[in-house]
Amino acid sequence: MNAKQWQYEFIQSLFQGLSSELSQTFADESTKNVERFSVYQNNIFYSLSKALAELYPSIKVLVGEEFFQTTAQVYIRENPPKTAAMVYFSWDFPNFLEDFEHTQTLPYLSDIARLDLARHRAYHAEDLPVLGPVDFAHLKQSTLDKAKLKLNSSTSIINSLYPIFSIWQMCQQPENNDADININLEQPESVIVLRNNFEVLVFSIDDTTSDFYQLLSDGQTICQSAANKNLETITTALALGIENGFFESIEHSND
Amino acid sequence: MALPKTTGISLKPEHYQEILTTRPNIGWLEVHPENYMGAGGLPHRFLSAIHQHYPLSMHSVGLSLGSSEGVEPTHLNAIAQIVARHNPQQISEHLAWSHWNGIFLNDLLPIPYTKEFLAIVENNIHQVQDALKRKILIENPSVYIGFKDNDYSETDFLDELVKRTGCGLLLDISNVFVSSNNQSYSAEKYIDNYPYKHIGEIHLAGYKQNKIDNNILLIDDHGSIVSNEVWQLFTYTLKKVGQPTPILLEWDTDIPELALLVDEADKAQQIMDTVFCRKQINEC
Repeated sequence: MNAKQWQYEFIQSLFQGLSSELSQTFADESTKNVERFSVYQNNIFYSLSKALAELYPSIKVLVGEEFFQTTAQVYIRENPPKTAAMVYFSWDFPNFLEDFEHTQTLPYLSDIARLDLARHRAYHAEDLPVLGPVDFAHLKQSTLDKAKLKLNSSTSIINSLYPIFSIWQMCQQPENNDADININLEQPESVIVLRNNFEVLVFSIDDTTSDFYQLLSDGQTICQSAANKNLETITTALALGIENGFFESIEHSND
Repeated sequence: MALPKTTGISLKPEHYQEILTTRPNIGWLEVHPENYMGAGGLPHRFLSAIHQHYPLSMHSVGLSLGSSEGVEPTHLNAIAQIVARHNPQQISEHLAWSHWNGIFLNDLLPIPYTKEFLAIVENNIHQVQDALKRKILIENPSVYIGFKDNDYSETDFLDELVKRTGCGLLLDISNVFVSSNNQSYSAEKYIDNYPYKHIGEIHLAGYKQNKIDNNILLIDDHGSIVSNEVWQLFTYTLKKVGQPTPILLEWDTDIPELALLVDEADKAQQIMDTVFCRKQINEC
């Protein structure tokens, strides 16, 4: 067996159990080999499960330690890391949860995972300056209406059929008794997640605000993004964004 | 620009703020560059701020120098970018592999010490050193299984790598102790045969014990204080090495209070001071 074949056997054995071909290359007698080889298997699944739990803390709270570990084992077998940089490991875990047969009774789980992932991505996003209230202080309303606002590059908007903000908030205090929390699981919620300076922020937003920010993100002007929407809601949405570093730059219209 | 020949500790996110606030008396800090591969945010901010006060070593875990497919260019490029961004005083990697066919396993897998693998590792070290434009140190692994068809002992294999690539060596004394227990050989003899003139750094860490078939298998988990046996082997090694060396107290799991890491580093420093004071007195 050459080096390439040997490493192929090693990887296969890590996921499917020690093969006799690989075991024959080991120095010890075969009975000891299985247990010794299992140290590598355990190390890999332990460290990857730990990385998964660190990225998706809310999922671990919602399904419990034991179920999380079982889910992680299946996920890791089907989706081993494609990069040595753990910061990029398991970004497709929300999609996995959406399809995983054992989490179908918790349909909100994949969107909560998307919220955890959005926080993780914002935490590690590039450091770019954002605009503050002072940058908007002297702009005329007419100028602002025609302007395009570039959203902070760490921003994610998540629209869910489920109350993801309420559930996520509950996960932040897992020690609270479940009986005290009353969440209507049929209530859709949207969130906007971003990093302002070095703080990752999560805001619950209504449908109008979510749509407004989605249109801004698509490159529409403020006026276009606000069309046919409640003026008071848009004013509040803009104030939220200006106060909390939602914008990276203003592109003024030449008209 | 080199690491000071004193003791350092692993830099962990749990200790970022405390290190900046209290500036403990430690010689230098070490990180895994794979933990700093996000584009920005607090990890880079803290690392830059702390590196202004302490020398830095980067100890890679993902270059997979033992991969028969070669070093993965994307990861090597990412390492080169982090090295350029933070400019560490020293860079090291393991004699191990983790990458195969697009899969990266978050572990340090063993290689047989054959002529074929020597050529593979030699080629990969050249590739890394050429890309980074600097010498790297290679660390001996903790081993849980041995191989029948080795052409070299581990120490001869490392010696050959030094001769063929000009790399330096990182001697992990805890790994020597763990591997010698697991493979039933003398740790002192390993140190006697080790090409210690090329050591640029020494690691010390804790391990845990598993019982298999009435035998104790030691597992290198970097999650506890250094054992008495490893402290003894450390003293034995320093006498062989004959000069002060950068020493790292490595801790990666179950991260304790910063004070415990600093205490362990102090203990290592005291041992090193004692060994070399005595040596100087004897030479007088």
